[in-house]
Amino acid sequence: MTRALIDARFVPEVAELAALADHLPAGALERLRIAQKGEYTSMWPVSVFRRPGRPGAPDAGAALDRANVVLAVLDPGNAGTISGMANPYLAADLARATNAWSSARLERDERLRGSIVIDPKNPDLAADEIRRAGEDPRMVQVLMAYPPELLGDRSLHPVYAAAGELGLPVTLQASGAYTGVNKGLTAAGFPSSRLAHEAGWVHGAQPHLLSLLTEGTFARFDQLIIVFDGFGVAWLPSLLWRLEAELRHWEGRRPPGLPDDPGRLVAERVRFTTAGLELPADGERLATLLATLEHRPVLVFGSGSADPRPGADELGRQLPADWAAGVLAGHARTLFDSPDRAGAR
Amino acid sequence: MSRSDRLILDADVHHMYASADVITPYLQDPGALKEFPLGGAASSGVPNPHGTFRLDTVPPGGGPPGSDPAHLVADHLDRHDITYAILSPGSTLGIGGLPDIDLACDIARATNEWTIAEWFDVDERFLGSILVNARDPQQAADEIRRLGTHPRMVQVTINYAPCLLGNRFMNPIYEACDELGLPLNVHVGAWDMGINTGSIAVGHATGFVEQHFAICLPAIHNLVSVITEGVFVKYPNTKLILSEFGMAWLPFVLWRLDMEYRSTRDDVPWLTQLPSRYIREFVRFTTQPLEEPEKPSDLVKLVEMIGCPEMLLFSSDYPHWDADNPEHALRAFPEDWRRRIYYDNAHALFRLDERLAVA
Amino acid sequence: MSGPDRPRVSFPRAELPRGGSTVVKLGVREVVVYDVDGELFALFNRCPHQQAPMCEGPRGVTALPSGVGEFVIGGLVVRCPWHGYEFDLRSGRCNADPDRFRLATYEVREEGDEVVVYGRAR
Repeated sequence: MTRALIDARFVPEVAELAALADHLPAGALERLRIAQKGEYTSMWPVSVFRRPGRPGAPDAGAALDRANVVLAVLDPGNAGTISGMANPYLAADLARATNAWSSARLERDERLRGSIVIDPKNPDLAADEIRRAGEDPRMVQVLMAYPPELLGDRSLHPVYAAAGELGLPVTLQASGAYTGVNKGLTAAGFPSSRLAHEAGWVHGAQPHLLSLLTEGTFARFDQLIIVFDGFGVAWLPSLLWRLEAELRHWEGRRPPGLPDDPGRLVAERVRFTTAGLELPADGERLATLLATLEHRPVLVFGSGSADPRPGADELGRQLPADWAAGVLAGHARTLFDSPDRAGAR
Repeated sequence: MSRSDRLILDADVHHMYASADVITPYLQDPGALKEFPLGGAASSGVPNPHGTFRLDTVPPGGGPPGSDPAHLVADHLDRHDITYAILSPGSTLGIGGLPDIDLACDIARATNEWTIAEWFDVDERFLGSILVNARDPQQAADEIRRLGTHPRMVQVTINYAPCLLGNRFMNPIYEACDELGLPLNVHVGAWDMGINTGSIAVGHATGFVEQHFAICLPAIHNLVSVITEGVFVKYPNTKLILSEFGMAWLPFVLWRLDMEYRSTRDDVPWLTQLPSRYIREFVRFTTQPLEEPEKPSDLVKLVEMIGCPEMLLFSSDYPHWDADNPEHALRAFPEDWRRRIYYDNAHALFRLDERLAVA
Repeated sequence: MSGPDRPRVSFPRAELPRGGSTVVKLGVREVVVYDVDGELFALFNRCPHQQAPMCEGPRGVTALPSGVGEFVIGGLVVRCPWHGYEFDLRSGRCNADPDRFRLATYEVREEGDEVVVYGRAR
């Protein structure tokens, strides 16, 4: 593979409690150890739909070399766990320790960048952590899972304000459902298989995007970039067309901050990782579908694994060449490597 | 105690809008009400088939019960020789269930202005509640500070919170109440209204007997939350009033919560005493609807088990259908308790001597 | 102070390893003796709540009184293996409800190569 690759979601290993021990205050470590100890009733958030364990890959360098990665954003793998933790103070401690761990991990390879993981249940504590961890200019995004409210809800404004001060995109990851205290994606029942659960993430971002658009969040935070990570993107045309159809005939009050052309706003302010991409066997069909939109959504490659090469190769084969170049590196370059990042030191 | 020397503070009286038009002059965006009729948000989906009000409380000039200040004075305050009545806005029970949070905050603000402008001057016995919308704690805190030194606003009232009451999300509200020394009054009934999530954790009531029973249940979760999250450790200058949730369930909560604490106090190390001690010091209950055991004397035993008649505040809930009659409600209790529950407890809680230079 | 009126029981020091515990009978009463980093403690072995055997429970640190949301680890407690009641190893008091629940403590010391536990004077 000769083409340069940027991986927006590189997971060489999951940040386990043992690895985070050095970064936790003694009291929190003690309580978190107790939380993990339970046999079948544990306070440590575990998912009802548990994935089979993934082997760690401490020598991430070789995997990055194989894939010709020039920049890889670390996903510590515990955003879902943190989001499902009942105790808000321990969740904050765990997030802080994870970010310290990530910062330290970045030393190993100059291609690595980090994610500031937060607990969205307590946005004020999350904002503090964004400002603290964001002092490290190699931390290139805010990362969260399963917020208790829709993304346009005012309770999340402190997160957007802090991210905005530092020029950081805010990433919502498709994880955390049925983990710890978290429930599912819909009030109408639950999936009964892991397959249905995983495929079901396709629904997960739509209410959040609609909320961001209709609550005027992008107008209020005029530098905010939101990344949907793991939710796919093929649903975007139907959401935009429905919104546009409603707007064409709408007689009631219009939410302030909602433009006439929401599709353009999405192209400017929203990114979609390729993790969970709805890729049919014939990849051209996805390109054709998204080309029906006036403003094509911006995708960034995210492997979601310790080995980016197979996923990148498949996308390279499936997507039309001109589009693939942007997806595999071009779009992410501006997203994560921007010299405009405020506070970059 | 003869009637003439009996003082009564009625801690829960509902004054009502004659129609939503009464607050239009006070709203910042009057047009917004068209999209969210209050009646829609005020429905739990399982209303009383016989109606929500006592049938004999309709004002002679028309309008809903509780909407005519002069009639309310005559029909309730004068009739029962009430010394003070705390007005808790009745038409806005569902504002927490309105999806437009800013509109709900505007309605709360407008309702407070309407109460001050159009009720307080009618009778000096009226005291008021600062209505706020807990869905936006910062706006709520602003409103609490705006009106918190008004001498006749004796408490802050919310009808719903989008989280358990001890959750940090509520801290701006507690901080404002603590600063001003105001109790936070939480009123029953709105947990199923509009977009609110429900009184029952799983499923819903299929009829009114079940529904009206269930509305007291949120008090239990919320009381436990407030105590275990250390709200009164952090904000010791405020108190919680649970209005109209009943209180006969309280002994079990005191016992069970203390049991849990004895086993796992290390999970809540900011509590340095048994939870029941915090409840007795920081929580109050309005009496209506007073539970009715087969043997009335069992109610006295129950309050003895709670161990603290200071926790009770007499209330009627006029003009709702399940209102308690001030003449009858406390008959089972011994004489000295009655005086405390009718008046002294509230007098102390609301610091009436400071507020109104009342002896 | 020892004397003919004080009940006592003793056992070889070697029977109580560092960090361990052992149960002895002082008359009819079970007493659990703990070694915590070389320091000895002796308490009644039955939890005052429902008579659980305290020797089966863990001993260690706890979360000390703190500000809301903080966890400050310290203290020295023994925890009942059933309902988790936490007793301060030195005073025997239940930290959650000190007025109501208490484990009797006994004087214990090393005398020569023995451990001696003393009961109350009659």
